[in-house]
Amino acid sequence: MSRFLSIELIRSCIRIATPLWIGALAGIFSERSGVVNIALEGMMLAGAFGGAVVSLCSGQAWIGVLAAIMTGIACGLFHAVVSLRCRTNQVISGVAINMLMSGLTIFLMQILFGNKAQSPTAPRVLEVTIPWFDKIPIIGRIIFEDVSPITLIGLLLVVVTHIILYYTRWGLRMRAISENPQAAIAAGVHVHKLQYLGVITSGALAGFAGSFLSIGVLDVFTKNMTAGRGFMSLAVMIFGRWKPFGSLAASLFFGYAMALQISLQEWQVPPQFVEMIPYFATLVVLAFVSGKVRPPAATGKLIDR
Amino acid sequence: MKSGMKQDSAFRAMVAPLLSVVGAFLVGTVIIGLLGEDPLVAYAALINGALGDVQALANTLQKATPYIFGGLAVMIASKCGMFNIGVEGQMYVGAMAAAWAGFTLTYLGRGAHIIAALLIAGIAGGIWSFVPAILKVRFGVNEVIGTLMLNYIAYSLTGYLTVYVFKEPGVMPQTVKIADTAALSLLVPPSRLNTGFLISIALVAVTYVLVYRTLWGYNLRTTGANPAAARYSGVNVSFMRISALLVSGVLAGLMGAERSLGVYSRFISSFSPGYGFTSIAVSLLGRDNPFGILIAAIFFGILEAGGPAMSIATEVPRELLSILQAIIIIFVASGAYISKMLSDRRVSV
Amino acid sequence: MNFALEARGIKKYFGPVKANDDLDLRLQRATVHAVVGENGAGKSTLMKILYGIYQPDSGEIFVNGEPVTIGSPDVAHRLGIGMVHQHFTLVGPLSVTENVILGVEPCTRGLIDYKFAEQQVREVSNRYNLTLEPTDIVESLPVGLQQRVEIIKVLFREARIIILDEPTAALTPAETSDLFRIIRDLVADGRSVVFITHKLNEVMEIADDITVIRDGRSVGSLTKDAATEKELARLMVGRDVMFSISKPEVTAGEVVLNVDNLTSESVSGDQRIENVSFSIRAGEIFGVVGVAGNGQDALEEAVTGLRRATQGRIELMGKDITGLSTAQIRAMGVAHIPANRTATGLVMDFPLSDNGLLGHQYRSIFRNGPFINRKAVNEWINRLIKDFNIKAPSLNAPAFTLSGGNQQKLILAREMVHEPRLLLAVQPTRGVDIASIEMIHKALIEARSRGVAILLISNELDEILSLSDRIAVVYSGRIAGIGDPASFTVEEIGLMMAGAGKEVV
Repeated sequence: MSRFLSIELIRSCIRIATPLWIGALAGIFSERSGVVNIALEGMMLAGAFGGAVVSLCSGQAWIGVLAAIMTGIACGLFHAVVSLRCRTNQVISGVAINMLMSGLTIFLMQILFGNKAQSPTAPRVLEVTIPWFDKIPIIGRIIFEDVSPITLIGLLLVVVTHIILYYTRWGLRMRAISENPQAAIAAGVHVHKLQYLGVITSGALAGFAGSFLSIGVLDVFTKNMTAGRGFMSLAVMIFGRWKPFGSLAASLFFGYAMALQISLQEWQVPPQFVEMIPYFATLVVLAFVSGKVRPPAATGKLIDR
Repeated sequence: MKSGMKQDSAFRAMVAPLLSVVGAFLVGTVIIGLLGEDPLVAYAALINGALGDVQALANTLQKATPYIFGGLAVMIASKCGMFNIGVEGQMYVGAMAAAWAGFTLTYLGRGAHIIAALLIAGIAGGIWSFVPAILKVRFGVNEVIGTLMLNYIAYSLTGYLTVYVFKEPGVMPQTVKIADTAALSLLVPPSRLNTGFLISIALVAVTYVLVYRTLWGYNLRTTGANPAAARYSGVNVSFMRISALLVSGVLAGLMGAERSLGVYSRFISSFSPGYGFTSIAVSLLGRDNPFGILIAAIFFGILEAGGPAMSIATEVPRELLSILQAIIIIFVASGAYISKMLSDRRVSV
Repeated sequence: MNFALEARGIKKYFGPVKANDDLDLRLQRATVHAVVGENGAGKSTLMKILYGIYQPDSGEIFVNGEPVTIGSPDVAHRLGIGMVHQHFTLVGPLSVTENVILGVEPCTRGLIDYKFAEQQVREVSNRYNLTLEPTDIVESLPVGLQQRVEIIKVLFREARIIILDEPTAALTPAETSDLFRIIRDLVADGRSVVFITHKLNEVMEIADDITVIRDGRSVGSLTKDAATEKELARLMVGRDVMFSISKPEVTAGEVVLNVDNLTSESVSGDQRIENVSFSIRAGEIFGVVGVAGNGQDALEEAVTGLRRATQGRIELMGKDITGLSTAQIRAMGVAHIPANRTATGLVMDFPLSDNGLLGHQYRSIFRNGPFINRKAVNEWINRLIKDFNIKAPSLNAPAFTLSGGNQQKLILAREMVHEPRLLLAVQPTRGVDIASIEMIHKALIEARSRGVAILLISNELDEILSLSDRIAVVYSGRIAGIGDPASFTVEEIGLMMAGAGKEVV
């Protein structure tokens, strides 16, 4: 029992899941605005890189996090301009951004540090313990003691995204745009503006998720360090049915599987099998619950004007 | 008038890719300049490294080969109105299957062994694209998601097979070597350019005929351009989608086989620097035309083969070239919109 | 006195096309004003101008006597003008309330006040007896109720002037009479309604004043009491309608199509056909008429193998074709002019040559084994272009470069030239110019003379009556009446279309 549900295991699960659910939130903002975001991978990578570099230069981890968000915003703006203004296929734009960021980060590492594999050590965001809250039995140990502030902010962002999506103008309009943009236009909604906002927010969140990788758990940027987490975030988002809390749950599920695999080393479950779970689960869910799990109808489609 | 119009559109089809390449190189020139290097020296080294002598040229074509296969794979799906971004995964399972056939079916003679290995690789790639095809046709799962998810499953699965089942003793994550009877012959040794390149050239012609001259190709293009009209005309749209993804996957499987049987003589875990994804760029740059794809693939081969020479001659990291590839994609993809906007003569009422 | 809404001398040209050419409209307060005209007469353009989607090239608009410039739908809202589009602009997965407030959400402290909004929706729904639940998901509602969501949307924006664009096109007769009741309630409440339609019986039922539009001009402005349907029809078309087409006597031959007790499946919830039986002989035009959405799509698709039959038989020349594929059925000599030429009839980006081949690609004369015989195809297309006088720049010109009439002629040519046994013509003249209509009608009559059996499905009663040898009226997926057109009066047919007719066999 305890080996499958120890507090350490859950803490490790949350650590693994943090970039995934933040990445999934990034996906939600874009896809709910009607724009497919395959570029999450590249945006996260760019955020991780920007965060590490600025943290290194400024000596301040939090300035690094801010820089990661700014880098993400720049990527989001780029994706928005290419896919909305130039009306390029959104999948192609995403593939291009992933290629670009993979090459660009290595290129810049060579220029800045003379090393293509990794950056020098940078200050990282230190774990904190929240007074009072850490005294809550079990929960306190799990999420309020010795926890990365990025994880805590990430949890808060789940709640915030939920409120935005279901209780604000922006959210209602986003949901309308991703289902039937023509209806939103007819209702007087400035669709184009909101799409930009959605994709840029998506970039900001993806950059933030990236910062967790380079200056959250680690203190260094390494070549292609996202290693598919952007795509995994996309899977998390779909598995979570394009909903914030659903995505959180999905990421914890996948995180748990991965944490278990690490903690049960002696069982020798090949890590590759655990790595497959998110992708496999996503396909199964899409195929067999297809009636209930349905992507926003108009996401990825060009809007006639 | 008739031929004039045709030439005009063919000309326009060439212009956008060319302008995109020129534009990307202008961006590259600025970057190189900012690094304090001489762009001309860098580009000269690039060209020389890619085309300077027979070995360099052979190396360029070797680098271009996966892009020819991959570009054609993307093109076939795209003609049917689908996006196969799973070429990467289909290539991985193809490469693993070919290697497996290469070190297992050693009782076969030379010719039979190669053909069997290629066949098995094609089937493996086909199976890998058949899954998202069924998911799309039967369950309505968008093929972009389906093929994307299967990339990572392929990646993990081949990784597992390499490390746990077929591993060559030692530290490298690679399988044992294939038998000599399964190796594709080298054309200009010591370059790894092999007969797989010739196969890819043949496939350029074959796919061209297939798409533009056959009934299957007509139905393929009709389904891609207007599935409802295709259905009304008697085309089995589901069958077309499945068969298009299947052919696409077979091509991707062969793409992997060429790497395993011709270049590495084994399967190496995570051998690909993103061949499958770059193939999307190749197909885009080649305007979804087999001959265009051939040219685009060789162009990308030049970039990759000349990169090391450029970074030796100057301080410019060769990753500049992958940046340029990405910029080319964006230019080509948006250029299509811009040129369409310019050429759109429809009066909207 | 001033009017709720007045438009004077509206002109709107699109290139050489005069969509509106000196149009006038005067909407009295608290009345229903019908704007009638044929397809393409300029009704939609005028409405889009009044709603701020288009700007007129010249002319003036007054709201309550004040001159206004309606630069966008936003401005129209502020002026109290609301519009219910023919094609609904609803977001299916959202609730009624969410759809209603979209774009004008009531907020308190940054959050949407759903409680207040739902209360408002319920109030409006109750006041006009719309029977809508604020929390219902829109896509789960029938079409008639979805239209009421659109009406609440307009009322929530406090519109005093409500434009209804072809509001009955997709409604069942029962839903239509409900809508008329709602319209009367709206008018009783002091609102003014512009009602756009081409159905004259509806005009006579609901309108107070009528403006008739033809070729972008207002050709008549009259009150209901002064109007008769006949007079309106003459104004609308510009000549006396029910013009008879000279049909040569043809002795009907053997039975070509026999449909026996056919029930089809329903695709994405549309009206299926149930227990339908009829047969068509060689040299006979069999016309099927009804309000759109009463099973016409299902009939078209079932006969051509595009939709599965769940019960019954379809026989072609005595052979059972139930369950055969579309390709197999076409190969047996069935030609098909689909209802929507751009969506299902043509591939707009394909050149003429490829479009001409569509539906014939399996024929052996156009193939050498698995290869397409380009030479044979091109020769054939050239013949089509010549024989049917299709105006096209070249064989390589994409279909979208052709005019609507020429596109339709291309389809007609493609489907007729191979001498089908059965021709299925669905809405063959929808949205084409008068000259093309005449040409298409002539072609159908000629095919009849050559012994082709023709199944003509159309929403245009005039077209059905002037061409058909026998007719069937469909209502709710069943045949409400079938027989010689001369044996019915127009009133009887209208009643059957509305589901009130008696079974006549």
